[in-house]
Amino acid sequence: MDLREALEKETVATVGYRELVSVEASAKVRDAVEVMQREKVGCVIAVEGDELRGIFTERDLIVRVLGKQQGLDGDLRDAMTPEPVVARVDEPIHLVLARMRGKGLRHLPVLDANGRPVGTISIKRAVHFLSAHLPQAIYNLPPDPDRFPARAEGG
Amino acid sequence: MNCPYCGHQNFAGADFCESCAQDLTALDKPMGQSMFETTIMESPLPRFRPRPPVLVSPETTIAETVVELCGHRVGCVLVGSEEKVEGIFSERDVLLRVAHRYEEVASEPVSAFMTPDPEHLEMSTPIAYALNRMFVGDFRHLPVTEEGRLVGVISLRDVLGFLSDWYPDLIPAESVQ
Repeated sequence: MDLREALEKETVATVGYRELVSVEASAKVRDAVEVMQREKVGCVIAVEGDELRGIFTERDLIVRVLGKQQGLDGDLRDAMTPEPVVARVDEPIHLVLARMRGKGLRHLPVLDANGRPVGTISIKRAVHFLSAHLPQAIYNLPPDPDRFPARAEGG
Repeated sequence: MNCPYCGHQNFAGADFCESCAQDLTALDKPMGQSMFETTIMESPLPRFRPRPPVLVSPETTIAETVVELCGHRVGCVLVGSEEKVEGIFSERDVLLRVAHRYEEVASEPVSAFMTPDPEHLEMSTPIAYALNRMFVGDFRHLPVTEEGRLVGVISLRDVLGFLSDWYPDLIPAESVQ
């Protein structure tokens, strides 16, 4: 399968997405931050029952909370993005990439066929699918002996 | 053939670079099976259009650094100078290292929370190697240097931008539903 074909045929489900990490939309920012820290994720989905209400990302934390000198005790509703742009499990990955590209988004909630949130897909996961299709180019490289990172920069 | 790592010119077909002893056998293999693959193996990083870095000094406070992250619409700042990058501090570091005790650490220097001595790439590095470092090394941002001097930063967003340039019909740059 060449890359064009892969972009059209691979779906959110086949590329893979992160399982749902959510908080109730009525939570405080602090609750969301605790969940993000514990799960080491860049975003959480805000829900009411099993319905999507919004998304809160580390970018929102910086721009809408810390950058505005707001503490973490504020309501999540005021800091999250309500009615976010979404991805559906069965749609081709190029549509998801196009949405991320066009709107400058790094995380999209993933909805199942019934419109219920089941997870999130990140730009990292979405572009990482490239490596499965270009293993020769990306993995068959000689190692660089000078630099071995002790650990990741942070995700 | 030129060694992609040190630039030394070797005899065609050499197994190892004479200068830096890098294994060059992979370069002898047939090149990519598609134009895209060949391009990422051969094109250096300028094709990614690295963005200008946002630089702060090590003494910059966490609060001031957060303002930089907000104002520049970037996911990380580099700490130090163009000649010497001492560290990198990203949105993820804000989340994991400072958010839960922000008031307490807002006036502390960013150098206490940055990741020191970040991995970086030379501008002449092939795109495929940058992808390798992002995917295998799990880096979202990589500083780019030219002759050791900081000139930019590449991110996952630039990988997406490159894909979009390549397949504009599938991944248009403008907004779609």
